[in-house]
Parts: sequence; structure tokens; C-alpha cells
Amino acid sequence: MSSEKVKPDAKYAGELLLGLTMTAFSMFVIVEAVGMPQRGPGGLLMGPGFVPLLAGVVLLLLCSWLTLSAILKGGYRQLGQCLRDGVADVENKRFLIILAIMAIYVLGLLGRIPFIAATVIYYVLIFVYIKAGSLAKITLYTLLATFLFAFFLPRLFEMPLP
Amino acid sequence: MCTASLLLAGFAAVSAPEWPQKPITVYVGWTAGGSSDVTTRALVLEMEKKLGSKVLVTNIPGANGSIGATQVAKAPPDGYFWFGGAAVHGTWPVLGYSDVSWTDFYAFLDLVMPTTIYVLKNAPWNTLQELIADIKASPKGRFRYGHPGAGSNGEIFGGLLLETAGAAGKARSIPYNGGREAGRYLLSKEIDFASVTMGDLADWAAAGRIRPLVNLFLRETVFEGVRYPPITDVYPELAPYQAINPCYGVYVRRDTPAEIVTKIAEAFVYAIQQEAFLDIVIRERAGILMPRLGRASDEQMARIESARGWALFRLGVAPNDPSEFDVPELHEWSWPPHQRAAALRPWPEAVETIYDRLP
Amino acid sequence: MNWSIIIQEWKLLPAVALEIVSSPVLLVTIALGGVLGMTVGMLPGISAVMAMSLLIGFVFRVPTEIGLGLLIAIYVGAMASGGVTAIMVNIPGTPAAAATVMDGFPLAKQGRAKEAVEASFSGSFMGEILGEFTTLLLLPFIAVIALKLGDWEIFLVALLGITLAGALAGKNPLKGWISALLGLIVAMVGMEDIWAYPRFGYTPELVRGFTFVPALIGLFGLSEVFTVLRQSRPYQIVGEGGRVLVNFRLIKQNIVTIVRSVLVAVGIGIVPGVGESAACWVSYDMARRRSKRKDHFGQGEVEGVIAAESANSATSGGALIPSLVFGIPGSGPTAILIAGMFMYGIRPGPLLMIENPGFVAEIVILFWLAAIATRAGAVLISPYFIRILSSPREVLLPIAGALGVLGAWAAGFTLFDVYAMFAFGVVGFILRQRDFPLAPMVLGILVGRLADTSLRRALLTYSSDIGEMLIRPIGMVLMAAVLLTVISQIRAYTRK
Repeated sequence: MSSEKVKPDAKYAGELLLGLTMTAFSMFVIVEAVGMPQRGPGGLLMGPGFVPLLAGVVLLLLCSWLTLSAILKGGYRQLGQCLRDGVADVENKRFLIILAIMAIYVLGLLGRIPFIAATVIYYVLIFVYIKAGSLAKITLYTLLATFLFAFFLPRLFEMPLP
Repeated sequence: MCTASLLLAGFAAVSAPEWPQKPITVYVGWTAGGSSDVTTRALVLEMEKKLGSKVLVTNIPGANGSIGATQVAKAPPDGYFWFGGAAVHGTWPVLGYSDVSWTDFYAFLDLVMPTTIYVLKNAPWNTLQELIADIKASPKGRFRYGHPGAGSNGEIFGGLLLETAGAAGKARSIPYNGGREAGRYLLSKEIDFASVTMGDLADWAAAGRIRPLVNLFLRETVFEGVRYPPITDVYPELAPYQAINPCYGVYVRRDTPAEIVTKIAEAFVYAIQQEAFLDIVIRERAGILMPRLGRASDEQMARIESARGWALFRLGVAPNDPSEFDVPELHEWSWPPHQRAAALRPWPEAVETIYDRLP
Repeated sequence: MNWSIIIQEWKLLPAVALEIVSSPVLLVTIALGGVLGMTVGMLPGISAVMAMSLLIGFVFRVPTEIGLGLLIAIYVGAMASGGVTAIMVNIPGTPAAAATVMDGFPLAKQGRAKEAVEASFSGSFMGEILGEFTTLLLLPFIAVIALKLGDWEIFLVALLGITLAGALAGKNPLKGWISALLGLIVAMVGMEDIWAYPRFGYTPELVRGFTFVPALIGLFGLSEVFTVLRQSRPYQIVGEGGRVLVNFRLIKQNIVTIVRSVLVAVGIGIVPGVGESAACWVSYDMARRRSKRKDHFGQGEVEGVIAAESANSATSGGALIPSLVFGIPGSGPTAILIAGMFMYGIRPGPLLMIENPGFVAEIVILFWLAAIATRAGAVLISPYFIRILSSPREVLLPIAGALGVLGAWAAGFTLFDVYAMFAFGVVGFILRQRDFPLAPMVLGILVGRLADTSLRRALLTYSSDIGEMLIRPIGMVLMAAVLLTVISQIRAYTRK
């Protein structure tokens, strides 16, 4: 898995950042859960907020543990390096570009132009970017995949398309 | 290329004189396998024989059916998109789910399913009066009743019954995920009685495991040898509240051309007389055939809006006050209930004629 | 329910079997359905439930046995091949296949893909055959126990499933449980089932909440696409392909594991809505504890694949019969089968075995035939699908991404689901970067609502006397199991 790629000395910085984010998230959940109305004879116990509150509190405990141990292991000292590594990392750049292609497909094209056309554009973009093969091969893959999964499969199941 | 052919198909549909030219899509607003799904599928399977075109059913569950219905309300009014399932459209604005309501549709209603109080076979109560007397004599919260979910017909009926008997809030209401699940918990004795749609547990009653005490209906019904006593025997004043019983049907946009609406009505009337349809919805699901078209359908939809809308608001399930939408309470209901209903585009004359000729 | 009805079903079994086997149309249907189910099960993002619910309109137009045979064959085929995508692409198609990934994917990376697929097919084959057999044998027992299960027990089984998955799926139980809790919180979004209060309902779509399939596709599928394709030279599956057979020698070597997994699965499979996805984790955990090669689990141990697959197949078949007898569907596929039966004039419920003698026997035979047909189909098509799934990741994973979009759309036909899938993919990717396992989160999303509803409903039902609830015997056993898991995991973790 990719964590092996992260330099060991920057490991705890990432842990710290994610831990802090999730601690904040769990606090948000707790605040929201407390704000939910209390219903039924047991008040809080049976109200809509009970299980979110429970989950939020346990999450807060576990995340604080994670964050604290990252701090104890010196995570804060590596923060700067972690960010520098992150910006320079080729793999992160590749991730962002693939993310952008996906975003164009899902957020930009779907529902605006016909499904088949959107799918063809997506395949061409991503195959070309990750160099899936020669131009002829990319054309072949695109046509085949589009036919099978954007035309034949929906037809088989008689389903509506975006 | 494919896009071009799709476009061509679209043009053909617009200019063609004879509807239907292509398959019709029905969005059922509930999951596959539930009452709304099965009754709609049974109906359209027969309707397509008369229409001479395929009718495809797609399940779009969520927010009490309103997600699917809103999509139908946004689709072009060419008769190719229908909504199918329970007639609860009037509750969506009150629940804050959608601006779409029953006034946006023509409703082709085929069935109604009464709401029933069931107890275990060996329970000590033989009649509703005995059960009520026992509840009144017991400390608050000793009794528990199960129903198909928050704001369901079962919860409304249970609450109404206790209130009418002067025992409001004395039995605790426990929501389940559907009447069938409430029945399972009745069998494992976690609840004392179940207030559910009759058909949800009619087979358990036929198998002799549970007994019906009362049915929210005007006359006695017998299903597979089991008698369902009507509510009017005990509380005649609850008769108008029949409107909380689930009704089922299919719905098309109110601005669909009259000739298409008439064709759908013809196919609908044909379908509800077919044995295959009756087998599924009457003999298996214990539904009661009560077709409504034209003015009668509009009145029914409006009564449901009043009955359920106010009950949901009182139970604290619906955030919006029904009076904001000029929805009258059931006891002061008369046609037209509000300005929106008075201004409605009427049903085609031909449909009223078809409806009058129904036996 | 009594034994005489069951004995009657057993007596009818041979006659029903003969009738079905002598109908060539039905046999062809089952074979086609099995292959279709297998194909669908292997496409990441397209699930058995989806295929079944989309085909249900077609099914109603054909005769009863054909329609039900087709649905069952698709179900069995998809269950069997769900493990294949888990092994070869690291994308489990259902939460039930999440435990298969644990050892299956490492095996594939080591060039032993064929062996892993063979183990998966053999395990699930035995799971289907033995699971149905055991369920039909013990049906009256199961019926009694199923009625004893209250909300409290259902909640505890859900909790046990989440706790075990959190502890086992990753190296660090802390991160596994965080992941499970995140899933639980996601499941809280939307209208809750007790008071119909819209939690976190900031928009109409959020009032409906996140549906399960888009979350599954995003977390397992899309995050894998991101994780692998960001490397300029992704890993490749090498090693020989070839025909995959049900390997009886392998079955014989692992027969203890298989029987144990099947029994556990039949027991847990009774619990509606939770059993199917929790059983594979419980069986996997038991196989690991009993094994002499404990340390090899998670790095490519054939026994792990067999334990997980035989358990998930035994529940999916085994859960069906109780839901037929009660008429309450326990999972997505069973809900669709039950809908199909209603349309054919067969009423699942207490009268089923009285009104339609031989029907349950017919279902069992259809399951067995589908299990055999699927494996026969696998012999024919396995060389091709192993080759296709071994093709370069640069080709396979972009296609998986687009299929995920289609699958998320087909889950509810709204674009919100597709956007949700995308968001889950990004969140899943980030969590994976920090070694958070995602299987617990998926399980949390799947069982979260049920766990929440059953816990609060149990409290509501027993609000006058909570003590009465706590001393229910099955509940006490389950509570002990949850506590033991948590304590032993924390001790093992802090000692490290």
C-alpha cells in the first residue's frame, strides 16, 4: 500500500493532520447531536441524537489518542517537511490530475451532455493521461468499454440514463 | 451516432399521432417488494396489454415517495412518465420534502387497504372494548403497540383510537420498519398489539397465530375465513378517518393532453378487471378494490391530504403547519378544500363518463 | 412450525429435484443466469441486487420456475464471483466479500491468483451446498431462535460485527474502529426510523441520506482507482491463468474450517440485515485463532479465503429460508426474491409450507443447481476472466471507475448518489494513505441505521425496566463477545 511510499520521518505529521481534522469533525458531530430534539420517555436516551452523540464521543476519544501519540512522537516537528514533500511528490500530482478527470466526468459532464458522449470523453482523457497504450489501442479500449458498459449493459437492464 | 438515433426517436414521439409510440416508464417511489411496488407492477402488467406498449417499472425510493414523484413532475407531460405507489402526495409539502403535491397529478386510484389492530391468538382480549378497558385500567406506559413507522397509517390509527377512548398516551407507540416487522415483534411478545395495514399480517391471522380486533373500515370484511369487525361497530364517529388508510394507484402530470389521459383511464379500467391483477392485490395482499377516477379521485386525494397532513403535524413528524397550505381539518372538510383545488384543471369529460359506467 | 412439515419437505425433495432436472428450459435458464450473475458480480460497481431489481420487470413476464430460477441463479453467480474481483482487483463487490480481500489480494499479488480464485470458488461452493442443507435441517430450531431475537440482540450482533471488522481489517485496531465510527456517523445522516427526525438534513438530498451502494463503490472501488493509478508504474498481476475447478483436495484439507464457518454463518445469518456481512468476519477470526499459521493470515493464506467465502455463501443461501418462512426479507436480494414470489401468487410467510408444499424444497434445489451450474460455467469461462482481470491496471481501473459511476447512478437514479460516490472515493483515498482500513467503515454504513434503530427501540420498549433487557441470555453472550474483543485488542495493541 502507498503508505510505504511516505518517508518514515514525515509519517507522524500526516497522522497529526488527519487526527486533528477528525477530532474537529467529531466535535462537530457531538455539537449537532446535542442540538437534536429529545423525544420519548427516556429523553436523550431514545431521542434522535443519542447514537450520533455516542459515536461522536467515542470517535473523539480515539482520535485524541491518535493525535496525542502523533504529537508525542514528534509529529509537529515534521509538519514543514511533510508539506514540502507533499507538494514535490509526483504521485500526489498524478492523483490530483486523475481526480480532476474524474471530477470533469462526474461533476461537469454527467447530466449535461448524453451519457455515452460523457463516458467517451472520460475514457479518452484518462487513457491518454496514464498512457494506457498506443493511440490505436486507446481508441479500441474506449470504443469497446463504451459499447459494453455505457450502451449494451444499460440496454440489457432497461434502465434510464443521466 | 447513438445520440442521433435517440434524438430522432424523440422527434418521432412528438410528431406521432398515436400515443404510445415507445415504452412508458413508471417511477415507483418505494423499494422493490413492498406494497406500493407489487400493486403498481401488478396493475401496469395488465395495463400494457391494453395500451399495446411496454410499461417499465423503476424504483426510486426515498422521502416517502417524493423523490421519484418530483422527477415525474419535472418530466415532459407527454404521458411517458408515470408515478406509482401510495397516494400520500398531500403530505409532502407538510413534511417539507417537496413542493409537488397531489394537485400536480391526475390520480388513477385502484385500491385501498384498511388499517387493523391485531393481537396474539391467545391474548386475553376478545374485543376492542376489552382491550381499551384494560389499557385504561393499567398504569401509563405498561401497554406497548407496534406500527409500521413514524407517521404511518398504523401510528395515526393507534393514536386516534386511544384519544377517542379517552386513553390518549396510555399505550406506548413503538415504530417498526413496516407492518410485517411489527408483526414479528408481536409474535415475540415485545408489543401487546399491532396497528398495521390489514394485508401486512392477514396471512398470520389466517394461519391462526394472531387475531384482528378491529378494522378501520365501514363494513365487516372476511379474508380467508377470518372476520374483520368494522370500526363503526364501536366508534361510528371515526368513519371519516378511513382517509388515513393507504390508497394505491398510478399518477400522471396534470397537464398531460386529454386524449392521452383518456387512453390511460381506459387501460386502467381494463386492468382492474383482470383476474391476474385481482389475484395478486385482492387475494394475496388483502387489498380492497375501490377504483376512483375524475372528481372522485381528486376528492379522495384531498381527504388524504387533510387526514394525514394534520395527523403528521400533531405527531411532531411534519415540521410545517398544514394551515399554511390552507389544508382544512378532516371534520370541516368540504370540496373544494382550498383555492389550489378549486383552480385545478378538470379531468377530461370522457374519463368522467368512463368512471360513471364502472360497476 | 413443527417437524412434520419439515419432514414433508425432505420427502418431496427428490421428486421436486427430478421435476426440475427433467426440464431442459429451466436448466438452460439456470446456466445462463449463473453466467450472467457471475459476469455482473465481477464488474466492480454492479451488484447482484442491482441486476436482480433491474431484471425483475422481465422476470414477471415468464413462468414461475423460470423466473425464480433466473433470479436465484443470478444471486448465486454474483455471490460466487464477488470474491474474484476482491482477489484480483482488490475491490470487494459486496461487504460480504470484504474479508476475502484480506488474504485473496496478497495471494494474487504473489502470482497465485488462480489458486486464490480456486479456493474462493471451492469455499463458496461448499458454503452454498452445506448452508442450505443445514438450514433446511434445522429450520424449526431456527424459527424458534429467530423469534427470540429482540432489538437488543440485533444491536449487539451489529456491534460485534463492527468491532471485529475494525479489529481485524487493519494493522492498528484504533484506526479500524475510527473507520467504523465514521461509517456509523455517515449512516446517521437522513431521516431516522423512530421519530422520523431528519438528522444532519441540511438539504432535501441529505434528508434522504446516503444510500449504501454509492458509499460501497466509492470507498472500495474509486479509492482503489486513485491509489493504484497515482503510481506511474502500478503493480501487475502475473502468474499463470487456466481453468478453475472446484478443488476437492483443498476442500478435504480445510473441511474443519469449512464446517465451522458454515455453522457460524447459519447461526449469524438468522439476524436480519446484519448477519450476512458480519458472518464472514466472525468466521475469519475463528479460522485465524485456530490456525497454526496464525501469523500468515493477512499475507496470503488460502485458509483465510476459504473461511471467508464459505461463510458468506452459507449466509446468503441460509438467510433466505427463514425469511421465506416469516415473509420478512433480511437483505436486498431476498427482498427482490420475495417480491417475485408475490407476483407469482406464492405468499412467503407462515402459510407458505402449508399452501405450497414442496416449494421450499424447490428453492433449495434451485440453489444447489445454481451452485453447480455456476461452477460448471466457471470451468468454461475462467481462463478468459482471469486473463481479462490480469490485464494491465492502466486499462482495467479506468473502466472500473466508469462502471462505478454507472453503478452509483443505478442505485437510485439520482445524480446525488453519483456525487456521493465521488466524495466517498476521495475520503476513502485519503484515509487509505494513512493506513485506515475501509472495510469497517463500509460495514458501519451498512449496519449503522439498523444498529441505531434497534438500540433505541430496545430502550423504548424496555424503558420501564432496562435491567430486564440486560439479562436476556443471548444478549449476555453477545455482550461478553464484544467486550472480550475490545479488551484483547487494546491489550495486544498497547503491548506493541
